[in-house]
Amino acid sequence: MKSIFLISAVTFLFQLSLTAQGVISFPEAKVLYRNHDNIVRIGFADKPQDFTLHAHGADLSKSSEGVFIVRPYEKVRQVALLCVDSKGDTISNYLFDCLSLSEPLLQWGGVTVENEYSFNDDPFIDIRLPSGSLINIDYKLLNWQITLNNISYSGKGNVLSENIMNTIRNECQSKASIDIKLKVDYQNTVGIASIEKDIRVYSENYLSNSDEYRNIWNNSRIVVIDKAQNTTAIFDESNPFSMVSLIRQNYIKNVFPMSVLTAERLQAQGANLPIGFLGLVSDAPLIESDSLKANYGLEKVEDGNYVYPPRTEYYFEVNDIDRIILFLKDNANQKNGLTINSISHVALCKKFGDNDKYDVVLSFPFHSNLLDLGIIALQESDEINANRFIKMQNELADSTAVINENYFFSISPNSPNKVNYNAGGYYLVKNRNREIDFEFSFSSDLEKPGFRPLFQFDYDADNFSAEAMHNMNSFSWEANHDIFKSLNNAIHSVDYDSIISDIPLMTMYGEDSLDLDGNLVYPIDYHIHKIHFKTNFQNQSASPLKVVLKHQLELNSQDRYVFRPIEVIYCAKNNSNSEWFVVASIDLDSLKTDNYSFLDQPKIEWIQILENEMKKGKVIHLKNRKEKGKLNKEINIDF
Amino acid sequence: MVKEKMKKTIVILIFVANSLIGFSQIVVSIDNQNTLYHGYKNRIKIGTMDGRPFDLKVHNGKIIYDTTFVYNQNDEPVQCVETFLYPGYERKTKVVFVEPDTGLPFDTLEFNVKSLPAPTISLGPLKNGSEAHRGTIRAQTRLFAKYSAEIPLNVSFSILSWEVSITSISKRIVGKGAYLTNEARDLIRQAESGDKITFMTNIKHPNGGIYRRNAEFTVR
Repeated sequence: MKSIFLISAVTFLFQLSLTAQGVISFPEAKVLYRNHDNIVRIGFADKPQDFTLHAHGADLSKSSEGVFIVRPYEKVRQVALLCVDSKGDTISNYLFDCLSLSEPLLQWGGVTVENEYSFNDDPFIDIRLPSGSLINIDYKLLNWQITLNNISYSGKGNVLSENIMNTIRNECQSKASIDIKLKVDYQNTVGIASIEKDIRVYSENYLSNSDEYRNIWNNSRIVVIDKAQNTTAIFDESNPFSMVSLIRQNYIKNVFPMSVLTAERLQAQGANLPIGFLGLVSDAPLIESDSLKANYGLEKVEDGNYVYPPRTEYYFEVNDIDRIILFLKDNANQKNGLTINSISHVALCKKFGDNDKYDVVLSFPFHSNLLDLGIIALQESDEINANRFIKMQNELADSTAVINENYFFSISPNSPNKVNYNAGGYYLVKNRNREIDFEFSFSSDLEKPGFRPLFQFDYDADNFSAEAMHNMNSFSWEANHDIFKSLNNAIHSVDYDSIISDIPLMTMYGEDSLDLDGNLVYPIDYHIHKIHFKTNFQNQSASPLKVVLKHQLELNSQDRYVFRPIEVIYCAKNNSNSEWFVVASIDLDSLKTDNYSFLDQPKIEWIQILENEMKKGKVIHLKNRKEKGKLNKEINIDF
Repeated sequence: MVKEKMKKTIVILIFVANSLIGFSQIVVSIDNQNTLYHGYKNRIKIGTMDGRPFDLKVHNGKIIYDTTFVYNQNDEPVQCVETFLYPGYERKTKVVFVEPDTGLPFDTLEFNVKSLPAPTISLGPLKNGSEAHRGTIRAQTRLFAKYSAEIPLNVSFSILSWEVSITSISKRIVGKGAYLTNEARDLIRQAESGDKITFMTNIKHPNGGIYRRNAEFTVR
C-alpha cells in the first residue's frame, strides 16, 4: 500500500511538430487496468499548453509526444493523473479506478465455450474478453491442440484444420456427443498464455440422425394435435397466450431445425422450403447471421470430393405448420417420489405436397423453453402434463385480449427534486382470470446535470409515427420522453393512451433483433401516440406540445460564462391552428429550495423575453411575445 | 425546418452540459478503451493532440456536436469538447476529424459498438449465484439489477416483476417491482440448507427493452 504514495511525473512540453491527432475520451469510464500498459493520450480542446503529468499510484513513462504509458501499482484501487503547470498549479486532475483484466474467453464458431459446445461445423476459434469489458484487446491466437480419442491434432492460427473438422464431423454423425480436450496458446498483453478446456461436443446439428433423437422418437409416448381438428387456442396466433403465439413471440433456445437429409428429400420432391427465423436471435450480432445463406445439396470441395455442406436452417413460421407433437416423459418428482408424466419435447410438423406423412420441421425441448415463455407461471406444479396443457390452451379459446396501461408522474413535496414515475397495467384475456401485469417505477433527479427537459423541442402528435421516430435521432426521442415526465409533474397526473405498434402483443424487444421476416427490429418499446390530460387542462386533449427553457448567462465561480437554467415552460395548442397556451411552468430555482410545490392548477404565465448579456453580440431571446395569455407564434431561441 | 430546430436543440444541450458538468480543456483518453453502447448516451470528450480546431464526421452514428464556443476568462472562445455519441447499428463507428476550413480529414478514430452488458441481479447484497446463510437470505427484502464495479457505466435498470421458487417446494410466488412481498418472504423462509432459490425477473433496460434475467441463490 505504500506504493500509492509514490508519484511519477513526466513533463509534457507542447511541440509544434506534433502530429494532429484526434482524441476522444469517455468521462464516465475512467478505468486503468492492472498488469497492463495503459496508453494514455493527451489532447486539447483549445489552445495547447505545457504541463507536467503526475501519476499517483502508478508508474508513468512517456511513449511519444502526448502519449504516456501508465502502469498501476499492484493492489492500488485508484490512480490519479494530474496535469500541473509551470507554476505548480493543477490544471486538471483525473481519477481512475483500477481493475484487473478479466480472463479472456475461448470462443468456437462465435460461441463462448466452457465445458459444453454444440458443434456447428465452424472451424474458427478465438480468444476474447467478456462482453462487458470496456477495453478491447485483440488477442492473437498462436496455436491450438485438440485431443480426441487419445489422438492429438494441432495447428497454428485461429482456424481448425480440415483434418480435425472432418474427424469431429464423422464422430458427430454416429454419436450424440464426444469428449475432447482443446488447448490454445495466445499472445496477451504480457506474454504468451494458454487456455485448456475439457469440452463435451454435442452433435445437435445431426440430431435427427443421432441416437439421442431416435431415442426420443422411439421411446416417447406422444400426443398429436392436428391444426385442422383442433379447437383449442394452441394454433391461435391472435391469442397472446396460445402456444404458437408464445413460441413466436419469444426467443427459443436449442431449436432443432429440419435435418439436412429431410430437407434434401423434400427438395428432391420439389417442395419449396422457406428459410426464416423462429423467434429472436437476441444475442447474435446481426452480421453473423450471414451464415444462413448456406448452399444446399452436396458441395464439391477443392480436392474434388463431395461433402455435406453446413447445416441448412429451414425454420418455419408457426402459422405454416399443420401439426404439433408433444413428446411425453415420465419424471420422478424428487420431493414426493411420485412419477409425473410431463412433456419433454415439442415438434412442429408440416405435410408437404401429397405426402402421406408429416415431416418434422422444427423441434425444441419443452420444459426449459416454456419456463422462458412464462407458461410455467400458470402452473402450480413444476411439471406440465400434456392433458393439463391442452386443457389450459382450451380455456384460452376466446382470444380477445384487453390491454390497460397507465402512467403516472408526480413530485412529492417532501423531496421536491425528485420526479417519481410509475407505470402499471395489465393484459387480460377475456373469460379467463388470466392477467399479465406489469408495473415499474423510478425516480429521476431534477438537479442532474443535463436534465433533458431543459431543451426546446416540438412534438406533433398527429405526425408522430414509428417511422418518424426512427428518422429522428435518439436524443430527441429520449428528450420527448423526459419532457412528458416533467410536463406531467407540473400538471400532476396524466393518462397516456399508448399503443404497442409494430410489435406483436407481449413481445419484448430490446437489443437489435430480427423479426420473423428477418428484418432488423430497432429497440423500441412502446409508442405513445396521444396524450390526454385528465384534469386541469381545459378538459381537452392537447397537442402539440412545446417546451421552452428559460436560462441566463452567468459567470460562475471559475469565472466562466455558463448557462443557468431558470424555468421550464410548457406550452400546448388545442389544435394545430390555435395559439400556444402556457399550461405549466417549473421554476428551477425553486426546485432547489424547500418551497417547491407542484401546481394544482395550470399556472398561466407569460413567456417573458429573456435578454441577457452574451458576449460577441450573441443574445438569447424569446421572440414574439404578445399580450398576456397568448403567444401567437412559435417560440424560438436564436443565437 | 425540423432540422433547424433540432440544431438549436443540440446547441442548447451542449451549453447546458458544459455549464453543469464543468469545462476542462485537456482531454485524457486511454487507447483500446473504445467501446460505444447501443441505446445509451455515450458521453465523450473531444480534442486534438495539438489543440487545433476541428469538425467531426461520424460514420454509423450520430454525434450531438456543434461548433459552439464558450468564452474563457481571457475572453477567448473555447471550443466545445464534451458531448454525446450515439452509435448506429453496425459493429463499428468511425469518427473522422476534419479541418473546419478545408474539410480535409486529418485523423480517424474507430470504436466498437456493443449492446449494453446485462446487469447482475442481486438479492439485497447477495449477488446472483452466491451462497448465504439462511438468516442472511431471509433478511433480504428487495432485488437489485445493476452493474458490478467492473462496468462503470451510469445505467439504471428497473425490475418490473419477478417470480421466485425454491427447489424443494412446488410453489411459485410472483410479484411486481423490486421489493419482495410478504408471500415471497414467507416462501423463502421455508428454504432449507442446500435449497436453491431462483428468481426470474423482467428488467427494463434504458433502451426501453424488457429482458428476462434469472438469478439463483443457494442456502448454505
